[in-house]
Amino acid sequence: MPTTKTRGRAGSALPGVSALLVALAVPLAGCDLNKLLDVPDPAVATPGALEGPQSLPILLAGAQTDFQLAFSGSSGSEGIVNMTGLFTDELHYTSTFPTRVQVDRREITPDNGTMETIHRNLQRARASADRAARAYTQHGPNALGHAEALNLHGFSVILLGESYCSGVPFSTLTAAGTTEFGQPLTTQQMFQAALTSFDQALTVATQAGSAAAAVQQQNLARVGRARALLNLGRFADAAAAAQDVPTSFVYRIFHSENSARQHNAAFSFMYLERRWSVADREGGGLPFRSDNDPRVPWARGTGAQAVGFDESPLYLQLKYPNRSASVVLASGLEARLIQAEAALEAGQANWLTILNDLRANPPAESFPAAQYPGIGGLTPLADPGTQAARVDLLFKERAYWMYLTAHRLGDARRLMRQYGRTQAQAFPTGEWGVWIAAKSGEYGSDVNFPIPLDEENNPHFTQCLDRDP
Amino acid sequence: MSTIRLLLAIALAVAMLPAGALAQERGTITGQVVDQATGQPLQGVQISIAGLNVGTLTNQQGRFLIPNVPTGPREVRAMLIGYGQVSQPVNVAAGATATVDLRMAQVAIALDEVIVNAVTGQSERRRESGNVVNTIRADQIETAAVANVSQMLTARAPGVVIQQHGGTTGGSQRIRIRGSNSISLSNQPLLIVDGVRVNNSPAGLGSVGANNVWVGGQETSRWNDFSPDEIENIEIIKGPAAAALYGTAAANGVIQITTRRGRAGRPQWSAYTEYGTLNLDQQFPANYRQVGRSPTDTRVASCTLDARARGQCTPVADSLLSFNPLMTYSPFRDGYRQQQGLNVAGGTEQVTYYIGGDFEREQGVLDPNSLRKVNLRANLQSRIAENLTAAVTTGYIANRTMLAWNDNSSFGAMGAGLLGQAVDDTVRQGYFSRHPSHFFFIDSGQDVYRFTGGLNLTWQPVQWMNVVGQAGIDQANRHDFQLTAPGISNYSTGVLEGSRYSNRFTLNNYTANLSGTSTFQLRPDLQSQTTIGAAYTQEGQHATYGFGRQLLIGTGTLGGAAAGFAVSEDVQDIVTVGAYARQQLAWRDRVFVTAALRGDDNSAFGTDFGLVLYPAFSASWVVSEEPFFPQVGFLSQLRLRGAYGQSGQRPGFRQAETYFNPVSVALAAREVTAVTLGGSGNALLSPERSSEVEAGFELGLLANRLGLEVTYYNKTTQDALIARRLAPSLGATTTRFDNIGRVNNRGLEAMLNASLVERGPVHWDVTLTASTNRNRLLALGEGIEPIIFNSVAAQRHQDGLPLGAFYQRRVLSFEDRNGDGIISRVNCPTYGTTENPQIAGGPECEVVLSQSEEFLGTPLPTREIGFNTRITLLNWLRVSGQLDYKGGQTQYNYTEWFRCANWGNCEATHNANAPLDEQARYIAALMGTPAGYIEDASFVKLREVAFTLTAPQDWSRRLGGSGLSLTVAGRNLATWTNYTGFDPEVNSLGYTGPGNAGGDFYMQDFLTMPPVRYWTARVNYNF
Repeated sequence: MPTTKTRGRAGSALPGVSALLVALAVPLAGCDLNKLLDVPDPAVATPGALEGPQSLPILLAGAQTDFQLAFSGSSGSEGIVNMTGLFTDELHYTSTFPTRVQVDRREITPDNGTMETIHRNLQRARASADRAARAYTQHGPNALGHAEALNLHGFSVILLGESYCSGVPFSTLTAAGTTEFGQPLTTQQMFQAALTSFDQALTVATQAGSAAAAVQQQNLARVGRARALLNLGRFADAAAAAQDVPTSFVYRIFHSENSARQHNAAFSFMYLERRWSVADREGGGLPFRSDNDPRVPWARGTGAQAVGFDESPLYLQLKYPNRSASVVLASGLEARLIQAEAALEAGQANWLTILNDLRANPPAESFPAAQYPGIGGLTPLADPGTQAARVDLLFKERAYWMYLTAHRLGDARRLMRQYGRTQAQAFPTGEWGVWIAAKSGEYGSDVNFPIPLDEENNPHFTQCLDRDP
Repeated sequence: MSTIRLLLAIALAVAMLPAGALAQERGTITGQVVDQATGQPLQGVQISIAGLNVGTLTNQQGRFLIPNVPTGPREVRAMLIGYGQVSQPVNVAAGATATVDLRMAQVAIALDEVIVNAVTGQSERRRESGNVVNTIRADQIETAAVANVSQMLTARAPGVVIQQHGGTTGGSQRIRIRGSNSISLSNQPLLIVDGVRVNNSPAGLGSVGANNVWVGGQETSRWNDFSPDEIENIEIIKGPAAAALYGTAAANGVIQITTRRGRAGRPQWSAYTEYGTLNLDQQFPANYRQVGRSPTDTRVASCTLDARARGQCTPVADSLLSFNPLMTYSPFRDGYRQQQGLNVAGGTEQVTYYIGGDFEREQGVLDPNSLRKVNLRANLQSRIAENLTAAVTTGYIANRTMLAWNDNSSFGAMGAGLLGQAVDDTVRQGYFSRHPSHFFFIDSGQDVYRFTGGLNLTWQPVQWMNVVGQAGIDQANRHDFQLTAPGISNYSTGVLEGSRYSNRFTLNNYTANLSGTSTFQLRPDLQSQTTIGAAYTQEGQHATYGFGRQLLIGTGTLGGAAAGFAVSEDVQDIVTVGAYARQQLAWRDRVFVTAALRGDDNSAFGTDFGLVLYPAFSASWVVSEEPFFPQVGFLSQLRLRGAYGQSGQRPGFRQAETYFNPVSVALAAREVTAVTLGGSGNALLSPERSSEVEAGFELGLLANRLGLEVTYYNKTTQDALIARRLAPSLGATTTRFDNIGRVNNRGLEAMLNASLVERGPVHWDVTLTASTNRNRLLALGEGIEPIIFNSVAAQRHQDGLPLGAFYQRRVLSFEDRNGDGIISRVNCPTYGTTENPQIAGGPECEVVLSQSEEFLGTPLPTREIGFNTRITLLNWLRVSGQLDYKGGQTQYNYTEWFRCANWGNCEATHNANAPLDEQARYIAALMGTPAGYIEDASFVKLREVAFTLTAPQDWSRRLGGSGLSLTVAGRNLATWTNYTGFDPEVNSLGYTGPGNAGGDFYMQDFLTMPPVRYWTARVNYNF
């Protein structure tokens, strides 16, 4: 038992105690504790630093970088160019990741993590363009950057509409951090939304004058409008939208050696990772290799690129031969192809003329002869005689001219939706994995990408409205 | 902030209540303490005077001296871990020296063991605490059998679960105390060394992240920087009920390491040297392939059983191929381990010291995996004045770890072999692309230079008051690097051209505490102890990342790179400021009631969130000391205890902030500065708050030769921080942190200590630890969809399930209905979105799955038992061993899933003689569920066995020393399990951590090297 005696409370000891305890407390109680908690964070920008007119170019650049990542990827993440190519007959997979195998086999589950990133990046591109466009509306509504932001927004929406099933919502995270969840949009509604963006962009760009930069944005909006209208099945309107675009027009998404985020994914994942290969008649698809068409340049890999990651032969595309190779988003060439299709659909004879004009005079802006040897020697096409064969020919021309530019999936869906083709006629079908013994199986039945499971955190969303083309 | 001041003021006022003793005349107490059984002097015994804040430690001769003791009748107490407290009254006369000699006996339940609160710096006896605190004594562990701190913790304390990630030297482990509290933050306990909060990050080399160096799966850990040889003991504070005063950091429990100290006496030197081997004793499966012909008679290179059943091919006779590259051309080597150390301890009554150094080197079984480490330590304690003591602790670590590619990497040996060919060939030797040795030249490593230092001042201005000031720093300079030398391999362009990562980090932890404790007698039988204090911690990580490629041949730094330069910098600092007050009332030294309150503010809280308060209450009652307690022969001690407390865990850096990352975008030939959304912040973000109730008892039986400690705990984490996955349509980040979850852990813990035999020269001690844990996610948050993660969506966080539950369609049954020896999915119904082949006239469906997804298991053990035993014979032979049982957990055998369902080279894909259950899980995988590969991973492991021979005293004396021993120890010697993979506790996703979709609940065995076996021999020499 403790036997220490106490001499009572307080008394003469108290002043000393007080002094001691005050001495203990003062170092904390006396100083400004908020200063202790105020730690600097010099590595990032806060929303407050991005307000006002001076921030508009930075926000526009933000929209451009997010679009680049979503469209043609980086060395860390594929873009929609890769994934639509893999899903269709443009590319086959020469690696092992199950999530990419799902894409190549056209049987994608909504919990596919790779595709979640692809979708999220595309939605980020849309939101980023929207953020920039809103800022321009507030601080510089007539600035040309406003038109570019609207154009990028429109193309983000078009790519969502062409690639994904019906039912993609567009939601908003407000500046205050609150969420405004959007309702699922049908495929048609998405193309309509894209059309609205392009209309606004064209208006702003037209008001901006006739300088080259303004004309560039006008043409970008026109091609965007035409592409949206084509998806909506309004062929004549699409042709009208495209008619003022010169064939020499080209709008590129640029890549750079500067940082991994800026690397061209079509190059990186094929040349460096060896995970993708140019396909040939994949599942009954087009003979991208065996046709040896100068518009789809390729080469059998050698040395470090001799075989893919799965040890199957690797066939390299030569369209994007390095990390900084740019990718065409929209061009006058596409405008002509749209006009040709509209003419064919309308029963006008000039559809073939338009195609042969392109073959005779390939736009050097998109197809420089140095990179595309033989491009000048494309022989004229003959009319195959039947409407179905003409459609096949036109879509093949589109496929070759616009190889690996994220058009092929939209075209395959349109073949089914607008031309009544079967799935087997539009997509790879049958035995999958024939390029290497270790792979086997059959193609699935997807004709578009499912919306990732995470979207179910949107209370308005359940899943795709339908999986129709 | 004003609230903190208010708290301080309240604490101040409370503390002023007890104002006690006045100065008086003084005397001295001296004496010696010896072991009751052996008569040997005991050093390091804590000597104190009841009711006074004075004390000392015994020296090597067991002697002590306490000057300046107020005159009058006093009670001298002696306490030592593992021994029962003894006390003896003495009368202290002015200017005189009173002598007190004490004899101490070992006990199974030591209620008077002293435990130290690292925040207040104050010590208390175990009997005073309403919580259970487990202590692991280094002198009870054969250090030859443990290579690091994690192994010291394994199976030695109930409720503490260590999961080895694999057999990589220098690799990390998963450490959990009483389950997992947090969904999206770290669940690692707080680590404190000598009162200094230190970096406990499991992330390091190998972790996934922007610009981080990665080797496929395994990573390093800061836990294992500290050497077991410099540790005196480890205290484990289990959870919020005990850790409220530790504030916003201790929700996952606290592990306190106390390093070795000097004792008054002549210098005592100790030297040791150790050498041993590591080897991988594992049978690996062969790779398979079967050639066939299609219905149109074309060659089918891979005619799987599934394809056969579907009529897509017919196997060619005698074309079943199989080859086992890992067994035929093994890439593994025998590793080795060596360790040498020297230390000295001693001192005077005024100054004691401990100085030690240790060199360790270990070569893993797979080139270039290795570890080289130097630990230096100097601890000094000094009585500066009669009422002022200072302790300085310093430790320095220099460490280089080299990791080998493995797990999820084609460069790795496991992957290259298990995904390899079914035939031998001269180029690849049956491996996937190359023999793994082809990639051994890639250097992936980490250098760490770490200093941990602390200063502890204890001032006793008056007899009834102690003031403790602590300051500490833990600074690690870390360099992660990876060098792929150019021109050595043409495996791929990246390997051929060479590349260099060089990432440098400065990791800082600053700790400062100031507390005052006053003790006085309210009445002769009622003692009051009041503590107030304040605490400051700062955690910092300053990093610079560098990368370059296209190296000049012969170079190995960024300076040799010609292209692809990438550099970035990050600065992260988190500050916590807290104040606390604690009041304890002790009645007759057997009933203790304690209340405490801590308030914290933190720089990572949301801007709209203020202060967080953590209350705690506890009670302890040593019933067996009550007069009414029956004096039954076999029942010697009983204590009841209970506690309630709260603690928290702060959000991570920037998790509350909305911010944009600067990036670059190319516009034609120009590089333009751009921004991209980096964080979708939440201004209301607050800490997670974990509340815990625990209750239990300690029972001493058979004259305290058998001690039983039982504890029930129930803790709930409110406002759990969830990396809430945002709908992609928001166009924002993948996740945003919200305080929306609720998690519960409850279970039982028991520890049995027994001296089974104590007869003359034979001693047999046994310690049995056991615990259960029931982990449930009570609520994920309204409107939040289950968080799904891991390959094939195998795991999820979902209401009502354990965190990270495996959840998939179950394989209900399978049967070879047509008797062809092949399990097929032909004519099976569609499950979910997976359609199965329908063949008219084909066989019936042979595999039945559940209609919906079901709970399949939990990634963390739900029960564990540790069995430690030590037998001493004739003072010259000591045998010890450890068995470790973990049960109830599930492992994802993704290696086999990948080989069968994705790669198609396992036996079940091709060999019609493969067991039907193997075929069934493969077919089920093709039907969309990996359930057959999600397996029970319960196991029993023989973790340790050690034999120590102690040389006779005269042998030692002839060598000029005082002790000589030889220990031969083995580790990871045997495993008993039903798991069909290589090892049930490995994890290829050890790198995943907080912020990822699955938090740190990923569990996956994917091409992971299993733990290796160690045999070591160690000689200890004292002089």
